[in-house]
Amino acid sequence: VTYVPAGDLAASTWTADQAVTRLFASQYRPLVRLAALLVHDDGVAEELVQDVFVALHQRWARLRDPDKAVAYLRQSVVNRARSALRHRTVVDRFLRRQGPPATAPGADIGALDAETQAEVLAAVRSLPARQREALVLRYYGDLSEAEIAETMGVSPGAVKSHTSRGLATLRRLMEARS
Amino acid sequence: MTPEELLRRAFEARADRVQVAPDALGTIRRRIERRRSPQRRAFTWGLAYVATGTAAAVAAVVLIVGVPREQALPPGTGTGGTPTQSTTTTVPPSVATRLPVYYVATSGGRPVLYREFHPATLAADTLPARITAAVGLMLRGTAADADYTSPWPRGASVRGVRVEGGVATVDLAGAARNDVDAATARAAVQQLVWTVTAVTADRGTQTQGVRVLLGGERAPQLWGRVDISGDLKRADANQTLARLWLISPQQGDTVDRRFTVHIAGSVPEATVILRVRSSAGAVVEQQPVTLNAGAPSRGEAMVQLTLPPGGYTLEAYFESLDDGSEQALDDHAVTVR
Repeated sequence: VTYVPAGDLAASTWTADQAVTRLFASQYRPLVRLAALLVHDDGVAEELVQDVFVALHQRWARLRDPDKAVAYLRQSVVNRARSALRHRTVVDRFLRRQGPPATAPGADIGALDAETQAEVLAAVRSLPARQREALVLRYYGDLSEAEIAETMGVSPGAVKSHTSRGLATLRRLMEARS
Repeated sequence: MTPEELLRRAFEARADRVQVAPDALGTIRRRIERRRSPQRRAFTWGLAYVATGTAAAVAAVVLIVGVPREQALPPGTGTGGTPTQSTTTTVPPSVATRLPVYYVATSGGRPVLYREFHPATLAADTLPARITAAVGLMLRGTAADADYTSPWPRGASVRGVRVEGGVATVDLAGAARNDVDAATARAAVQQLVWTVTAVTADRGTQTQGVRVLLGGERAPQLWGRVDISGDLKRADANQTLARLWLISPQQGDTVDRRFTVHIAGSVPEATVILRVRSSAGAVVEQQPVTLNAGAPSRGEAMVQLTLPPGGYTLEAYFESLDDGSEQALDDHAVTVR
């Protein structure tokens, strides 16, 4: 077999190492935040995002395209968060019995008071995983329906229904409280 | 405030409190380096492991041998042993070996099995010790290829292994509960069965069944999804294994300039495409490879490649007869020295 260098490097000429370094700079913190909203534990969130960057390094030859890589990172974070949560169900149940953690009140004008914030987050974490993912990607990630569908690996129709069911449950919970 | 607005503000406030580790990039780089570790270089070709998928190879007679319920099996030191094992010879204090370990990945929309070989150090070279080590690696789930995973619950471990009367009994701790769908649970059970039986086949021992204990007890079902009350055997290879395996080099291997690529699979027309990309992603080589059997049989092929030193990704896939799309792609990053 003769080695023939191919001239077509249109998508990207980053090596896997460069891809990790550059994407880390722009994507790491946002992804840890996204993961934290999904798994409710900053340590677990950070660890799973690191897993995802290690996996990205291995896949770089196939991704090559920074846009595709960002979609891959987001998708992997959502998948791994879901599987991390499966292992944490028991812990979560225990924590939920302890009530919401005390949080410092927000300093910004218009920020939610700590109690309301904790209640909203507790309501979100009580939702089925798919509904929670759809809400986080939509209202935190500001992603389009198509992007959410791609990230979650479901159809746009399913995104619609997960979102509306999640919102309905949330509305019910918040009304019951007031 | 609308629920949407409440959500936005609650998410934003929560996200603002997230602190990231100052040395996260360093941690990621060290983990990537570890995956390139030289211990993966010592891969030896092994045709003996190739699953042929013939009915005869997987059909097994199940022997029922009673195991006392309350007796915990000592880790890696089965009391029964097999007729092929001898305790009269002197065993070295520790034995370095490579063990076959199966992992689960999604291909074609369903969970399927892939196999890797992993280095292990055994206290004694007994069959139960080999099974204990291989299942331990499987439960840990750290495959060389990041696309492969293990659906077993985190923290699950091996309590003990016994091989007796052609039945390998594997006693697991921390594995009783898990929340996965039925297809994944079935794949997890087959992952265990294929791993155990690959280890025994490697040692020239026919295992006629694998018995699973959870915390020392027989259990009717695993995770409420799969019947494990009887002795388990390998399910049909075509239903269980990935359609295509890039057997070697493995993910992360370092190879000589002239090296052999080993492919196995059950593919139409017995034709696999082998593609090599440079680390920049450019295609430097692409060729059809004919396996020695076509679907529904599982065939295999060895191909010699010569490449200049550098990093490459080897990709093997087959083309759909319907639309020419790439199917069942398995890829491994390798270094040519």
